[in-house]
Order: sequence, then C-alpha cells, then structure tokens
Amino acid sequence: MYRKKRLALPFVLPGLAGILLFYGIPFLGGIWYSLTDGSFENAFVGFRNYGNVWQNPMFQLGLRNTLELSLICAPALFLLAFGFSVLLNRIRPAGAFFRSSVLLPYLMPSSAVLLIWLIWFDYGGAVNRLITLLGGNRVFWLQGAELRLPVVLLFLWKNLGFCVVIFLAALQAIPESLYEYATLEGASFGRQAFSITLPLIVPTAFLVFILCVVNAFRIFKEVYFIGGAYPEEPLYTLQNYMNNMFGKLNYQNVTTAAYSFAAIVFAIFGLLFWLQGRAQRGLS
Amino acid sequence: MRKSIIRILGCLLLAAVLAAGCACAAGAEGENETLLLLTDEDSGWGSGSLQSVNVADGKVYLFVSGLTESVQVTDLASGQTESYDLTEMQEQLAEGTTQEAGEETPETGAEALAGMNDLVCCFPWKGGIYAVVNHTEYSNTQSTVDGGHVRRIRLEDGKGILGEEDELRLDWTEMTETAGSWTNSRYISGSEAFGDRLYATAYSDTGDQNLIIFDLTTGEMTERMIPDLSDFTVTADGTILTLQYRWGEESEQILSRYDPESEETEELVRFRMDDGGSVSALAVSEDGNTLYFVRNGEIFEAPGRDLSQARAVNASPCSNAQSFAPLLPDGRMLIWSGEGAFLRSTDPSRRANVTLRLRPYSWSRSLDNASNAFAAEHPEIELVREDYGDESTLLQAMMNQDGTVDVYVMARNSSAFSALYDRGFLADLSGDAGLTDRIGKIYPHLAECLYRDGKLVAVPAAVSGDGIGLSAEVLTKMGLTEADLPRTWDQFFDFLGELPSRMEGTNFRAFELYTDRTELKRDLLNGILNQYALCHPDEPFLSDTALHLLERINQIDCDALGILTEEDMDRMNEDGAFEAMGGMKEALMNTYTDYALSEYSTNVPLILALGEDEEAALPLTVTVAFVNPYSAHAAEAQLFLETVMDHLNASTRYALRPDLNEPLRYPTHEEQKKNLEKWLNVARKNVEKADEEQKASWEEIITEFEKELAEFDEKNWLISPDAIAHYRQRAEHLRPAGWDYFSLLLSAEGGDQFMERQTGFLEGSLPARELLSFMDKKIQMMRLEGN
Repeated sequence: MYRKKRLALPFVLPGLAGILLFYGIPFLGGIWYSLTDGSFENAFVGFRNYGNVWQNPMFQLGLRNTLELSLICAPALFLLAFGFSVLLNRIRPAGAFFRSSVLLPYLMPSSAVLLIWLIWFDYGGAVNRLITLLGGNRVFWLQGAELRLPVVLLFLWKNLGFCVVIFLAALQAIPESLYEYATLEGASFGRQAFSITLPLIVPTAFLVFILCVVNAFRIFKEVYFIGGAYPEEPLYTLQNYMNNMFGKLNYQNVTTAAYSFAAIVFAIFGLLFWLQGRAQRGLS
Repeated sequence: MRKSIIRILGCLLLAAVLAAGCACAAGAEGENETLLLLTDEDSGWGSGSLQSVNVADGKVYLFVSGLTESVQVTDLASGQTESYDLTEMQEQLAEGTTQEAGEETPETGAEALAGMNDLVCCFPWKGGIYAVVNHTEYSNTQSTVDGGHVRRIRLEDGKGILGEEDELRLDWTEMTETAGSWTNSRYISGSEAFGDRLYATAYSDTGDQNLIIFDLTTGEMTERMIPDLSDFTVTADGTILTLQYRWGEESEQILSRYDPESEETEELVRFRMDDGGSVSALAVSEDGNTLYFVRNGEIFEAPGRDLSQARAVNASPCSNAQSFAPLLPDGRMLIWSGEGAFLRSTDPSRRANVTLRLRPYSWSRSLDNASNAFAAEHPEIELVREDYGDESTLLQAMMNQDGTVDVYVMARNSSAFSALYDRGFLADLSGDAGLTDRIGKIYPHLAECLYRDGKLVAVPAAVSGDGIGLSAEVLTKMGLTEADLPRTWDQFFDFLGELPSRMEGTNFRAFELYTDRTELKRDLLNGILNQYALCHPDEPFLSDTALHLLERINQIDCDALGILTEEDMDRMNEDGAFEAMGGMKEALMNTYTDYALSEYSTNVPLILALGEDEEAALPLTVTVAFVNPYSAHAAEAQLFLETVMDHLNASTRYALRPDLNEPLRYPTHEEQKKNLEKWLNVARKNVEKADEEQKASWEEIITEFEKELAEFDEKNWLISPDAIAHYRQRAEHLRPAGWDYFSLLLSAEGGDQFMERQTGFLEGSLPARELLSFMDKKIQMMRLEGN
C-alpha cells in the first residue's frame, strides 16, 4: 500500500506544481502586496492597508451595495430557478425545447443585451408605456436608485437558465419509482416534495445557491455598461472600487480590497456550509 | 650583409607600417559614422532637410533641400566628403520661371501669365549627377506641363551647375494629371537610379502609390500598381524591395521582392505592429538571406529572414529613419532621415560596453537635440531610444524592479508619472552637482515640481500650455494697446461683447475662420475648468465663480462675432462662400496660443484671472526626464540628463531660465535676408520687363518686399526682445500642472459620461449648474476613493 502511494507521487506532482505556481504563489504574492506600501522602499506595513481600505467611504459604499444587490439577487435567482425547473420538469412533451432554450440568455453577450434593456427602460420606453397604460407615472429607470431594478432584472434574466439547467439535472436524476411508491402509499404532493424531492436535491440546491451568491457578488459588467467607472451611488459596487483602483495603478488597494472581499465571501460560504450540514441532518 | 640586414629590416618595417595601415583602414571601415546631421535646433524653417540619398559608384550622394540647396558627396573608399551648393542651380531654374508678359504659349495660343521650372528629382547616373526638370506654364484659364527634361548637374568649385541642354527626355505623358483645362505634374517621391533605370513612386488617380520606372536609355515610362505600397528600394540584382502597410486591427508591414522583368512578387517577411512597433531602415544582404531592420531604437539582424532569430546588432541613430537603408559592401547600413545620414556597423562585436535605454512617452525637440549631442559626445555609450512602449505598464515594471529602461520621458501631469512620483519610483538626482546647478538656474516656482521630499528627481525637457492669444499685428492695426486687454474672464466676455462694434467696417474678424462655435466654446470651457481645478484644487466646481463664467460662455453672441457654425463650415467650398464668410479677414484671436515661450509665434497670450480678487494662474504642462531607480547605468543616465539640460531648445530654455534675456536670432537669419534681397531683385527685374497692366502689381510686390526687408532685422527673431519681455511678466502666473481629478474625469474612466454632458452644455440643452453638479458628484467619488 505504502509503495503504491509513493508511485502515485510522480503523477500528482506536476499537477501540484502547476497549482502552486499558478495559483498558490500569486495568491500568496497578492497577500504580500496587500501588506506592503507599494513604494520604492516597499515597506511592510502590516494591516495598515486593510485599515485604510475598510475606512474608505467608497469601499464601504461598494461593499454595502454589493451585499445589498446580492441579498436581492441571490435568493430571487435561486427561487426563480427552482420554480422554473420544477415547471419545466413537468412539461411534456415540449419540455425539451424549453429546457434547451432557457440557457440562451446565458450565452448571449451582455453588451448586446444591454442595448435592448436600455431601450426598454428608457423614459419613453416600453416599460414606462406599460406603466402609464396601467395608470401609473413614468419613472426615470436609468437614473438614481431606480437603476437597480433594470440591473437586477438583467442579472436574473441572464443567469436564470444556467441555474435551471443544474436544478433540472438533479430533478431528473430522482427515480420516478420513488414518487410512484409514495403515491401508492398515499403521500400528498407536499409530503413528496419535502420527503423525497428536497432531501435528494439538497446538495444540488446548495451548489445552485452558492453559484447564485457568487454570481450576484460579481455584478459589475451590467453596472459598468450602464454607469461607467463612476455610476450613480446606489449602483457603485465593490468591483467598481477595485477596477478604479487598478486604473489608478494602486495595486495595494486592489489586492487589499480583493482579499477583504474574499474573506467576507469565505465567511458567508462557511455559514452556508454549516447551514447545509444542519439542514441535511434535519431532513435525513 | 649589413645591406641585406638593413633591407630585411626595411622590408619588415614597411610590412609593419602596411599592416598597421590595413588594420587602421579595416577598423575605420566598420565604424559608426555621421555623414550629415541637420539639426533643427533653434533654426526654424531655415536649416533644411535631407531629401534623398543615393549610393552609386562607391559614393554616397546626400541631397539637402531648404533655405539653401546642396548635395554632399562622400567617397566611401577615401572617406573624403565634398559639398556642392545647388543654390545657383535653383537660380538657373528660377530665371526660366517667369516668362515675358504677353508671350503666347505655342500649344494653346493663350496668353501666358507665368511659367515655372520645377526640379523634380536628382539622381546619380553614369558617374555624374542628373536632374529631372519640369516646366509648367500657367494662364488665366489653363496650365500645361512640359516635363521630363533630364539635365546633367556639373559639380565644380563647390557648386552645382545645371546643364543647358537636355541629355534625355523622359516620357512624361502619363506623369501628368488633368482637371478641366488645368494640367499638372504628378508629385513623385523616393527617386532612385540603378543601372539605366530611374525608379520613383507617384500617386495615381485612385490615391494608390504606384511604382514608376523610367528607362534612361529610351526615356520610356512604365507604371506598376503594388497595393498599399509605402516605399521601395532597388537591390544589387536589379529586383525591387517593396514595403506595404496594411492598416487595421492587426496592422502589419509586408516586405516583398518585386522583379520588374517577370513582374513577379515574392513575399519575404511580415512584421506585425504589435510585436514591437513599426520597422524602418530595411535592408537585405546581397545573397538575400539576411534581413536587417530598425525597430524600437535598435538595428536587428535576422539570419534566414527569420524574425524569431533576430538579434540586435547596434543602436539606431534616429527615431524616424526612412523605410530602407542602403547596405554598404563593408556591412554598414546607411540609415537616414530628414535630419541626417549615419553609417552604422552591423557587427555586434563592435557594440559599446554600456547601452543606455531611453523611453520617451512625450516628444520634445530638446530630446532629439540631446540624443544627437549625446551620441556625438559619448561614443563609448550606446543610446537606444525606444519609441514603442505602454505607459500604463510602467508601475508594474517598477514593482518588478525592472531596470531595462534607464531614462524615461513623460508629461509630469500624466497618471503614470503621478503613480511613480507618489510611490517614489524615481532615482534621487540630488547627488549630481552638475544637475542641481543646472536646475538651480530655472524659476524656483517651476523647479518645485522636479523635487520630491526635497530631493531632485527629474529634469525638464519641455514646457507648454495652450490658451487664448491675440495677434500682436492685428491688435496694433485695430488701435488697441495692452492696457485695453481684459485681465479677468469676466472682462474677456465683456471684451467679446464690444468687439463687433470695434470690428465693424474693418478687415478683421474676432477668431480664426476655422474655429467653429462648438470648438470655441469647448476651448473656453476647458480653459476655465482647467484653471479652476488648478486654483481651487479642493473646492467643488459648483461655485458662484464657475457657474457665472460657464453661463457667460453660452451668452457669447457668435452671430455678431462672425463665428461660424459647423453647417457653415460644410458650405465653405461653395462658390463665393469663403469670402462671404469673412475668410479674407485677419483674425484677432485664436485659442491655441502657447503661453509658455513659443518660437516663431508673435501672438500675445491672454492671462486671465477667474475673478477680480483671484490671482491669474495658468497650468503649464511640463515634460520631464527621470532616471529609473533600478537602472544599472545610473551615472550614464545622469550624464544624459545633463545633456538634455544643456540642449534644451531655445523656447524651453528661455521659458525656464530667468537669466536668459538676450534676444535670439535664427542661425540662418543672414541667409534668409539674402534670400529676401534676391527675390526683391527678381521683382525689380520683372517690373522693368512688365507691361503697364502688370507693372502696378509688380510695384506692389516690390513695396511689400522693401517694407519686409526694412523691418527684417527688427522682426525676424527666434526669440524676440518683445517675446522675452512679455514672458517675464507672465512667467510668475504659470504653475506646473499635476495629475488631478479633473484629468481623470476627462480620461477613459469618466470620459464618455462627461463628454456627453459637455456636449449637452455646449448645445445649450444642459444648464451650467447641472454640468458642474455632475462633475462634483463624480469628482467627489474619485476623491473619496483616493489614489
């Protein structure tokens, strides 16, 4: 057994070396950057950069907006994706067509879609016309805090398909016989959903939720296309901050902000894993 | 015995002397050498430029054109150089220029008003130099060309004399272009003779540059269309190397060999621009296997024409070399540009021990001067001037402690310089007494920007700043004095309001014809905002002062001032539109006057304060040179900076140093004066021959010449006494511009949104308050982010 392990080492080493070289070292190098002042002397400043960045009002604004947008987008995307996938799983025989076409928005370039979005949400656009038709007042969707709605909708529209496909794969993997057996035993739809569907798709659902959160954290392209490097305050995200710092060649602040954000994401994921573990145990 | 010993010793001595001589000759053969250096330094338009270079019969012919025309002939074997003045030849051509009035042209019978002889090109052939001369005749209604006269130029007593008789007549039929009854000769360039053929390029009707080949035995002409042809050269076997430029996303230069006999083309190599910039000074060895070229400041040798095998063999002497460089039998390349001709070794073993790399991101005349001077003064140091490089990756290079480039040159207000300055990536030059002494002579308030934490970190290479300027001549003609000129922006707008009544019935207009309304307003807006950013760096733009001034921009009465709209500009070519729009009137003002000290310009810059109780301060763009702190050749780099300081061009030198107050003449002042006197004499001769009708116009020309000549000494200055006096008064108002948030707003990050709103404001659809408020909002975000 010990001999076999030793034999495996040469096969694993190249991969490990690659990970170390292209992931480990840059990751550690980035941490080092965030702990220096970036000057000619390149002095070690400990966590001073972290202190400065965390106190920076624009970092705070970006972080707040990113978390707020994530809190809206991630659950909304998760729920919509679950709903759609259940629906699509039940549609037969045309389900295959819908299941395939739902992925299309994900494949389309954001810049191409954005133009249509801007036309729809323009002051004189289709959305406002619909609102006035229903008796409401027109809204400046592309200014101020209102801009969040088109951005959120664009995000949902674009990412929904991908999550639906993953959910569908999980749903279709559940043996039909389990439902037939449960039906024969007199289990209701709700009982089947909570006792069969949910426990069996929890790992997938968790993965989808993680993906939703990750994608929501990365909302930037949509904001940048509409608002540029300095959008309206309600849309200024952490990615804007990091992008602008990069533009100003302030690599220290870029790395500091990136690692700070990574720490927050890890904390959230840690919490989610803990919750998943508990949920799995409860459902079992 | 003794005799034989003496003979043997004598023979040995002779052999030693001969061997030493051969060794010296061989050493001289491969050396770098400057054949000609025409520096424009401080000489304005008079110094001339190298027009063409030909190598034939072991001699190099350099044709220089400018205030004086000349040809320099260097014998490659002996190294002897002789220069021949071609001015007399030009006079010969000029003598045949003006026909007697009333003479009828034989072809048309129409009355000829004038005829003109043009020197088309010069080329070496059959051991001598020849010229192609065209004669064009003009009448009121038509012009005709009688072209392709080949005449020998006799070189004697330091002069070139044009032969009286045609040696040959080239077929010029296809070399003319006709528009209605007007026929003109096509412009040809890059003439080169080889064997009994003369090669050149000329533009066709379709705008393509075609290859033209004249047979020098029969005069026959053939034209070949080579797509995207940019330049060509003839090789030793009579085939032609062509260089084609393909522009686009992946721009490239294609070197091919064209055989005029078989009309077949063989592609030799393709250079992608993004692989390190464009190439120039191309040459192919006689066996066709080795390719030489200049790229990013260095001469490369590519065995087998394989670019992946290319290695640098020497530094290039000029940054703007011509496309092709003749390769001499001793292996040296003759690299040339309009500014000079240089022989450069292609033997890498002859490279200097120290290579100093210079990366200029901003061009300045001082840098060209310094590069030439440094190469001449320090042959032991090779100076490589890299003109291709990305400014935005500079900080990364510094963070990697990259010492490849020794000296950088860039605008002090660029974001890249700001990033380096803030982080201290600039070598400390304080220990160099030569530099600190030189910097000690410049205005202290301008020198401040060269220091960081009390240490000298950069030297200036150029200063500039654009703003509103008034023509001193028109100002005098309008009866205005400097006391009448506005001192604040508010007074300036009042002044604009009064101008229409002042200009009524005169031959003056307020601004230059081609300054349209949008352009004028944009220039004024940016002028005010830039000044505001400089004077109130930490205050919001939305202030009473800025708001008031911006509102006044949109109150300018453009109709009354005769400032055209963009639609007017489009109609400019319609019949009579130019005159109707006031195109013949002299302009009082423009918006691009350099308020640093400018050579050649006689405009008076307006120095305006933002308000009555504000100091007038204008942002000055300073181009600086500094040393990479990781450079392995810091001492040599500092030596180069000293050379920069010693060879600053005149306007920069005078703008920086308050102790320079002696007015400066053009070095070619006397030649210019002689030229003027010569033309005055030509005019006087013509007035004697002219009939009554033409006499008046000739007399008018003579009066103008006489007036110009009388005022010549007083007015013809490189840096005039008036310019110095004016500058000394305004120098205290100039502040070196640094990178600021307003610059960022104008850059790519904030650019689109700001431009959109700026256009809205200029078109009147966006109120000044909203524009300023938008700026504040964005700048506030930028400021809060920090640097």
